[in-house]
Amino acid sequence: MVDELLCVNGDEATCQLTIRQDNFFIDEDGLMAEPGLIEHIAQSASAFAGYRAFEAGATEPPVGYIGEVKNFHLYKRPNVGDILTTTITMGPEVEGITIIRGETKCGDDTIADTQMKIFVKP
Amino acid sequence: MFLENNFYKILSEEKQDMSGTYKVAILPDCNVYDGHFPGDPVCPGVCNIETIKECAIKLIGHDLRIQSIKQCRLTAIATPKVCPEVTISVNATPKDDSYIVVATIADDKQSYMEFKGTLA
Amino acid sequence: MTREEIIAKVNSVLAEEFEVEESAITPEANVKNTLALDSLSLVDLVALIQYTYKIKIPAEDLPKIQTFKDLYDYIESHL
Repeated sequence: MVDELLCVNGDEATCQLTIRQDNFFIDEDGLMAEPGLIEHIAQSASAFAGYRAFEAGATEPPVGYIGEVKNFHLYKRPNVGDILTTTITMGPEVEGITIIRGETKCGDDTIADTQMKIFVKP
Repeated sequence: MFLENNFYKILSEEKQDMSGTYKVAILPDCNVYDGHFPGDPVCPGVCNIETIKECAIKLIGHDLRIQSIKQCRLTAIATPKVCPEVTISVNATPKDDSYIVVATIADDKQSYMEFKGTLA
Repeated sequence: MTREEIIAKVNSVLAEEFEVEESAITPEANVKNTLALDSLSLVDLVALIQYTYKIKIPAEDLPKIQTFKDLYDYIESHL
């Protein structure tokens, strides 16, 4: 659910995904279902955590689970072929649980935003 | 309703006004487990959220979308082995032209998810 | 910021975020028990204090914060 980690800047990173026809979360009306946006944001956060782990010398990407979704808003459901650009802001981490904020844009429109807790399996 | 008979199957439904109780089987052969995770099937939290939404659609009787989620906590890791069968309790309260939906996913051992969101 | 101001702000911010009565927040009370913190919400406490006072609480300092008095002391010494 993430094609590329575009850039990293301190606690912020930007990821990108082009929605393909075979994406698991395409609903019956051909648009992405809301949970697809949540999964995309969660995997963007995991990609960022993985990048940071590699930077710190890890050899295996960490496995991340969603622990909590908070204040998620869906503004617009994207279409197959749309390019999603997601900004992740990494918050504090305590005992393996990290707070992140995610905002996904499609072109200039913000289509979803949320706060989330990711549990990274040590 | 793209997860019904794909990720889960409804075994029984009990409705009373705006509350519903759904006995649900978690289908182990769903292809979501090819990637989540190879050789170690774990229910993606977002699929549990979509399952709650689809039960809410059955309860309320027309198509609904998740507008917002106030809070959704994943309190235990659900897998087709750990919980092949779960009970989803859904309660919907009309508010303006949307519904406040409060739901839980649990079995007799433990609770897996607590959800509170707005569907419209 | 005086110590009294710190205590007043901490109590009101925590009471609101964790939905407890301010009266339950006393200096000797245990933070985790009083706010009913579990592994998921413990990080909310850290995020809230870091955001409110613009200070960093490294994970290794957490065990030092058991009671609310510890929390006030920690904030006061890191402002």
